[in-house]
Amino acid sequence: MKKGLVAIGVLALLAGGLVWAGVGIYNGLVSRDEGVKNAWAQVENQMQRRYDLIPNLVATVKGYATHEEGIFTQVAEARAKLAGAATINDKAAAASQLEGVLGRLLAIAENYPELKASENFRGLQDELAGTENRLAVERMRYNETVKGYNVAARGFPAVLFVGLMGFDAQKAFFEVADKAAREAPKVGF
Amino acid sequence: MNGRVHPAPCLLLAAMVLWPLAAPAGEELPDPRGFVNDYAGVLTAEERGQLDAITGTLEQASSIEMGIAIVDSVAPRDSKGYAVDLFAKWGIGKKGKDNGVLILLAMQERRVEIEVGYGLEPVLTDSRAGRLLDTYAVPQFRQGRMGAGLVALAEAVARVVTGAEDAELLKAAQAAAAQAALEQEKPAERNWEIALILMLTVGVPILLVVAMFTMRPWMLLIVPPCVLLGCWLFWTFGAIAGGVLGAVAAWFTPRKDWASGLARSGGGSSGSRSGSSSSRSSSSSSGSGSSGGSSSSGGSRSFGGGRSGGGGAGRGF
Repeated sequence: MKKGLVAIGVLALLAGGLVWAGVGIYNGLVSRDEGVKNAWAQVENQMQRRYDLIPNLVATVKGYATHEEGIFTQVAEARAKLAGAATINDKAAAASQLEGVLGRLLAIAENYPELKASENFRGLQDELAGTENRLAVERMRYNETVKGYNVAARGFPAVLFVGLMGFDAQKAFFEVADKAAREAPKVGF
Repeated sequence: MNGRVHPAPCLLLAAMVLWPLAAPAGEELPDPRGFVNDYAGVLTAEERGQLDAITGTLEQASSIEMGIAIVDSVAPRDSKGYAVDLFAKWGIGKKGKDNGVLILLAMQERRVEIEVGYGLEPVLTDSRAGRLLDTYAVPQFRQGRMGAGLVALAEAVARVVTGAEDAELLKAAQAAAAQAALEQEKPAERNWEIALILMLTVGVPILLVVAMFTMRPWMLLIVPPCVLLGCWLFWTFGAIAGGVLGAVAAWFTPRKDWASGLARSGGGSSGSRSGSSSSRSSSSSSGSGSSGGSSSSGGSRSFGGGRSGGGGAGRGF
């Protein structure tokens, strides 16, 4: 009789412990999942910021560099591509293409001393450089949170029921495939 | 007391001495000592006082925190990356408001960076930061006048972030505060540091030596965590109270209980003994830990945990 009670008590304790651990893992994954979403929103913010900056920049450069139609259409194309991208991978690819084109645009601007000296252009260059820096920072932070999520979701025992609970088995990193494109828009002073 | 020296305390002593060599290896970014941090030693006392006054009044008037860092070199990072990481480590700006701004001067790289907290990005835009650098900082820096350039830049940044284009009020307050800061600040800071260094270099080794020669085995249980805690507190918060307090508490615990408990290792009663002892040492450590934390954040010149995301501008000079 007494033995039975003890056994039931031990079992109840074990079951309670398991439930407790499960709740902990679940909550941990929820907060990491939210963290990844939040970090990605920051990345998108900065991409949007750069996207919004481009028409201004193009208009300013156009005012001085009237014979460079080619680059302006390239910028417009890359910008449209970014707007149309849906998945994280597509966005990363479009963003790096846009960076490359912007780098060429800035290189062209180097040939126009009046443009370089204009207050407006310097301000835009600062904004562009700041946006690139922000994007780099947010991209890094996004990748860090993704790494944290992946480690948590693929570790034992979470890996056993990540799928059952409806979480992603792992999240995609924001990888910039083309190193050259990544390095391109160095806005130097 | 039989003439032998226990090896464990010796190892501990060695570990303690080597600790500061090991700690910075992982983290090369310096710790802040107030708002103005001249690690390269380029500021005169007067310029430092002016910068202290500007940053101090700004914080008091608007809660906006301006950090200033002058470093020899930012290698292996680039200056912007260094500014981002330093901002994140120091947490410039109030938590939640993120209203901080960092001015970083890298002497070897000859670059100046303004890193803007999230909360100030709408006011201090990248183009505005760049224009401030062009107007106030770069011309002075090119002529080697680092201090004058920094003072002019800090004033201009303060004007922009407070939205107060009338600098008259700020300047009057600065002049008064500069005087006060020059007269008051230095001695207090020195005494505090000396006291801490004395405690670490004299207090804790004495404790270890006592442990070595008395051969009380229980000291070995208490002293290592206390010494480690003490080192950690010292190198992070600037306090050593944890080590000393814990060891003093341990010294007054009855000797017999410990000795017999250790001798009968594995016994039920010894298990409960060591359990209670560990809880005691941990409670003493947590108490001193919080006191160390409050002593470092107690002054009005420490940063509040703000964040930044790479906004701002930079220039070579």
